[in-house]
Amino acid sequence: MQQLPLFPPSDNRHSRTTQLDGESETLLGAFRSLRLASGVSLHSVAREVSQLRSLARESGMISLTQLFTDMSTVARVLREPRSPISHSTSRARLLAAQQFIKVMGRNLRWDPAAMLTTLDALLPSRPSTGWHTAGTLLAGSRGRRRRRGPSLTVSDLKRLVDAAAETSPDRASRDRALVALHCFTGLRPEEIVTLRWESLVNEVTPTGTYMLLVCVERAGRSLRLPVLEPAAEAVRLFAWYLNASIDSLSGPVFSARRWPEETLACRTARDILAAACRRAGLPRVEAVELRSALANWLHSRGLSEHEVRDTLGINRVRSVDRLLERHTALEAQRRVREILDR
Amino acid sequence: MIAPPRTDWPPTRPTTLPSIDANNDVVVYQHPDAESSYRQLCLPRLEQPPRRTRSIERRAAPSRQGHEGQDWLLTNYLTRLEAAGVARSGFGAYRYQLRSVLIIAERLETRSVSLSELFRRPRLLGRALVDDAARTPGTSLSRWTLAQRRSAVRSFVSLMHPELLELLGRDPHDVLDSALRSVAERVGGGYRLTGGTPRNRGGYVPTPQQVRSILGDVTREIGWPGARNLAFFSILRSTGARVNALRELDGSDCVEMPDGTLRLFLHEKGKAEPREVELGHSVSRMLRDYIDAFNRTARVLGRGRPIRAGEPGPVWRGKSSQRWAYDDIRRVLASACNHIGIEPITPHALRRAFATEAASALPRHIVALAGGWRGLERLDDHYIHPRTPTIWDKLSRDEHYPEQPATEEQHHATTAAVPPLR
Repeated sequence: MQQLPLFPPSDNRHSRTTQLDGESETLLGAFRSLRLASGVSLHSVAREVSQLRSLARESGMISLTQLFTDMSTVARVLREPRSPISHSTSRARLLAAQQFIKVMGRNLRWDPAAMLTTLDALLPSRPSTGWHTAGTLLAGSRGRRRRRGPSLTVSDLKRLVDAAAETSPDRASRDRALVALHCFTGLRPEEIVTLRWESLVNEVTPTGTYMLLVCVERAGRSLRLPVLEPAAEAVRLFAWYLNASIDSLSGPVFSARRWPEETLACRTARDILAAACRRAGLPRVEAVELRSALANWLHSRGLSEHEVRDTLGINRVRSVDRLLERHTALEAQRRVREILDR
Repeated sequence: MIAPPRTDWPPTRPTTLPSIDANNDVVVYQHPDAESSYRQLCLPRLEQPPRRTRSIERRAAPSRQGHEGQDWLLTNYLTRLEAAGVARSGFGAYRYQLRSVLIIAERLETRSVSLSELFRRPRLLGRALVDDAARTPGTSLSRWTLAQRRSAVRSFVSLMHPELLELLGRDPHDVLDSALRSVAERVGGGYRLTGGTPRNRGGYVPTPQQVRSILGDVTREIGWPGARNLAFFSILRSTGARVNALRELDGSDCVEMPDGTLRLFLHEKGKAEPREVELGHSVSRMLRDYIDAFNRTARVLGRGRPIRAGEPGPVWRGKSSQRWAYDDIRRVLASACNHIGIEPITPHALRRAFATEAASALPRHIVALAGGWRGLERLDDHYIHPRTPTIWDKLSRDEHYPEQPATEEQHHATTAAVPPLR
């Protein structure tokens, strides 16, 4: 048996600008249309197309037809990527390749079932644990590459919100509201920047008090998430700064300065959060750390994990467990320290 | 003209097991394709010299480049293992174990054996997998080492599945299973592998008084080394951190919190994500004192990069301003133990002391969370060693004993008042 070749020498080894030929672009366009027509979300289709481009780039080929007629090359790229990637990226690549074979195979007069079987045989595998798994192994690291920030407390969140207002007067209320929504709601960053005034509603709660709610669409579900008081107060102040009430406003809550009808860029929102962290004397944190701190605060106020899940609009309670994991460990460390310091 | 140095001789790793000559004085390493041999002097009349054993093992460790160069299966496997994002230590361990399997097979066959040949002969593969003869004469490998060897071979089979399937004509996992079953003992409905010495569990656990004495003694060194020793061993004692995870701490993994405490992100073995550890105010102060003392000295002497929390660079420094070496840590601890008159302990004993002391007062799952143990099995079996004085101390507390009737009459009077069970 011949040794399987490793990467062929390529001039554009680190190039990210490999262009596909015209036929491949047409194929990608058709693939995109067919996937969208079958009801797949735009986000998923965009990811699949992006991963197919990555596959072509890694293989050094400019034709998708040529690439998929040589399954050993596809398998090699999936097994041994040129640069370190995460396991989730590797899985997304395999899924994209499988979808492309399934969707376009019939149109290109391929035999999709035979191609998928060939691809499976060329990938590493471990013993299957059941009918539902092929045991296929993919490249990529399962560990987190990005550095995680420290676990925060609710006082750190309040400090962050206050620090966000320590900027120029024309931006103080906007930045404060933006950071407060990050800290005291279950909204995700991309939902915050695209938030519209129409999505914010004041409602009477079963306890008889008014509460600000935010309506969002998440994975095909319509959610009504509570805006907790520090964030609700910041949003009301922002509306007051705009000389209006929340109910009377419309359009994006956080708009770009030059184009008021456009929403704020995600990068700008991230920079505002980073600046607030710096002013509060905290290292740069991401949205997950803020959500984790909020979940811990809600849990410490007596909400169960399931109640925290509903408050934050999370799908699975296991995700809440993961958010609380580090806080629970820190709490255990404090308890042990009390014993050891006696 | 100076001749280029030979890279193949003397061998960094002997290609056969060392044999001891008749006088027990010389270990002879015989190169298979050379007439000459490599002789190493042994300490006389000592079967296992205490300090030389480690170096002999290291010298005897399989580090031959030839296997990777010759065996394309091994080369491709290592490429895929790296692509799978395996940690550096795991990568090294699996490479070592695969080389070991090849070397053992060569020894059993008395000729060179490739991985493809090994998988074509399941019986030989099985024998190589359970061979527990250590390279230090008179010793055998632990079961843990053999288990790691099997894991490495299983990983090899998984990652090289396409090639092995074509090579062998059947599922390589089945080949490996049959290899293991050929050397295993049939027990009930399954198989049990024999061989390997049981791994020692745990070790000596210093008492809280001894730990306090050690912490008091390690500050004997003058200047910043004393501050460093105190901070390092105090963190080990109060957090139960692993010594190498703490030793390899980087400045960028230290975070100062607004409340004055420090958070460390420790990269511990076997964990994909770093563990967040919070230092109390007193230990945070010790760490800051050490950093200040080191930076002051470095500035005065004009050498050594300063240590800064939040910036890259090793936190724990040795005399040469490089990262503090593990052997040096052991030496400092052993010196302190000798000075206070107890048996020298390893830094890992402080993790056992942490577990034992904490588990004496708190539920075990809290201790496991605090010390970064996943599950309770390892914590129970290896780390918690209840102390007899603690047990007696708890038993002797008066409130734990119910009041007993003094006389037989009183006893009858007490029991008569209780209605009989129906």
